[in-house]
Amino acid sequence: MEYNSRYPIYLQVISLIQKQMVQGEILPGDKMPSTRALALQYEVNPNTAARIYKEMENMGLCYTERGLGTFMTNDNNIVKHIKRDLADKLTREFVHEMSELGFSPEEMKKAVEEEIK
Amino acid sequence: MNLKALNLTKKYSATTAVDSATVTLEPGRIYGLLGPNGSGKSTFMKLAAGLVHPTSGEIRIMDEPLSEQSRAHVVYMPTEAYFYGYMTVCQVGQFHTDFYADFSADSYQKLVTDMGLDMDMKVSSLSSGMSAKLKLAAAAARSAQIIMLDEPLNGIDLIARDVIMSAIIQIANENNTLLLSSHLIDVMESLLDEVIFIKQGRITMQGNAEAMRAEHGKSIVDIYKEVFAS
Amino acid sequence: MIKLMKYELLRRKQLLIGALLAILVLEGITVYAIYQGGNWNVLAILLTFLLVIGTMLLPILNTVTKLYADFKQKQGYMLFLTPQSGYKILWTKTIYGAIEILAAILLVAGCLFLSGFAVDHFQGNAVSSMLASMQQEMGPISLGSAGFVYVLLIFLQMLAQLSIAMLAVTVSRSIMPATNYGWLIALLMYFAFVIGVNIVNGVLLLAFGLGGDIIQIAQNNIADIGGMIAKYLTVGAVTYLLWFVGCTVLSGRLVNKNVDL
Repeated sequence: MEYNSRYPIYLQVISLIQKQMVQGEILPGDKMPSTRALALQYEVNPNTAARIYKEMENMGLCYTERGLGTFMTNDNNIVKHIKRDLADKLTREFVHEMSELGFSPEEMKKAVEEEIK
Repeated sequence: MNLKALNLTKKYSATTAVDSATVTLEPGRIYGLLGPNGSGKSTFMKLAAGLVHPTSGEIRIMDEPLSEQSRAHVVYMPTEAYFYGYMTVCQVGQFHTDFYADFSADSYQKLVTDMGLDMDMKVSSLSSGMSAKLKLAAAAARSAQIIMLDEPLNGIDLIARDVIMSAIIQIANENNTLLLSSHLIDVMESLLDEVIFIKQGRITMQGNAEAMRAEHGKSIVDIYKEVFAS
Repeated sequence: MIKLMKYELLRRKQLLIGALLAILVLEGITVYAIYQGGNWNVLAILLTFLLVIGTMLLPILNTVTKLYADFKQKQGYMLFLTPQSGYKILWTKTIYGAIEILAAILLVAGCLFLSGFAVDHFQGNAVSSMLASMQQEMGPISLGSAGFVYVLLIFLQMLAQLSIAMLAVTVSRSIMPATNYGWLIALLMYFAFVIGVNIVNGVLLLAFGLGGDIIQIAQNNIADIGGMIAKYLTVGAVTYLLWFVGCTVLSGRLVNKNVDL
């Protein structure tokens, strides 16, 4: 696993999990791996794994049921919400980078259309 | 508190290997002891393991002064191969069973198999890679309070690295403390809760890895390069 | 401690088997030489000499070099990382060495007995008649018990030498880190210790009245020579035991407090 040094590792793992949610690899209501299994899967410290789940719970992405484990939220809206957020983030970055390079809004739209074809 | 060092100093005739080291290692955390060769990492671990005696200062293990009984709660895995050459892999396990109450022969067996070793192999005939894996198997099969691994990834080929990293993650729990020293900081960085930088025997910086990354805006590897550049 | 001794034995397994075979071969050739008689007797004497010296030296050399190796090589970590005191570790090595010395003495005695029997058998009771005339000279003291006392003193002396040698290794290692010439320093220290021990022993004997007694003997004034000999032998025996215990305890303490591995 390669981690970007700029952002905290736990946030990077959460982004990866969010992507899996959006892509349907993790379905609402799915049982998540134990903290130890998560730590092994992403090669992070067990404490980091615990923090990941805690943050995700705070974000409403999952919930923990005592004795049973951690589960993905059943709320479909959350997934749609994440999808929109990710899309917004990507587009914002795209527009920001392109304008830094000096592209006008028309040129940006044209570039996107070209790429989609 | 699992391990506490207070103004720990070790002087040899020509050099000071460890210089007034003060550090507390808490349970449930994985610490990285980071520094170049000769900076005192191994000496610090040997002091904590009771193999080397301090010139001054104090070490406390589980809030008791260091004694030979402390070693029942401490695992020290040195950088070099250190098992008797005449022994077989099986006898190494038997030795640990004989002298360490917290050694699990079953875990050892499983780890040995996972690492592709054979119980009948003689220690003297192991390649350096196999030696490195055997060392780790013996260390990981003990459920000690303090686990100190000196360069656990040294001599481990790329493919076996994942096995070693998994073994390390699996040993860690809320009660024990792991102290890892390594050159391959970029590989281990994601495992570390806390980092301790040691330079020429002195602890120059210590703290939470995540906090340090946020404060400096760079990875531990980059901070390391900065600290030890001169 | 038994567990530790098990490993001391295990690490020497091949060496001990080899040594045993060598002893058997040497003794075999010796008996054959005795059988042949004549000029072969010179060979028999040489081989017997070799056998006795070699067998007696082996346990001490063996135990001391293994201790040195444990201090010097990384393999020693395996032993010294275990949760037991330096005292226990040193006592284990010393007692194991003592057992090996005892075994060596018994083996040598066995071989000498065998050779003696062979000489008697093939060369006309030479040994039996020699022993008989020795017994005559000794008068009331039985040759057997004198022999036993003699061997016991050798045993105790060797125990003392073992511990002194181990102390020399430990002391040299506690004052300097492992180097290539550590063995030389340890050897020199051993010689120095032996000289020191002999001086102390001499002083002790004088303290018990040896000087006066010798003068008495010269003037043929002793009534109870037997009693006097017994006194000095006892002093000797006790002294060796004290050195044995004292040096081992000291070595243990140094390992606990001073030796850096």
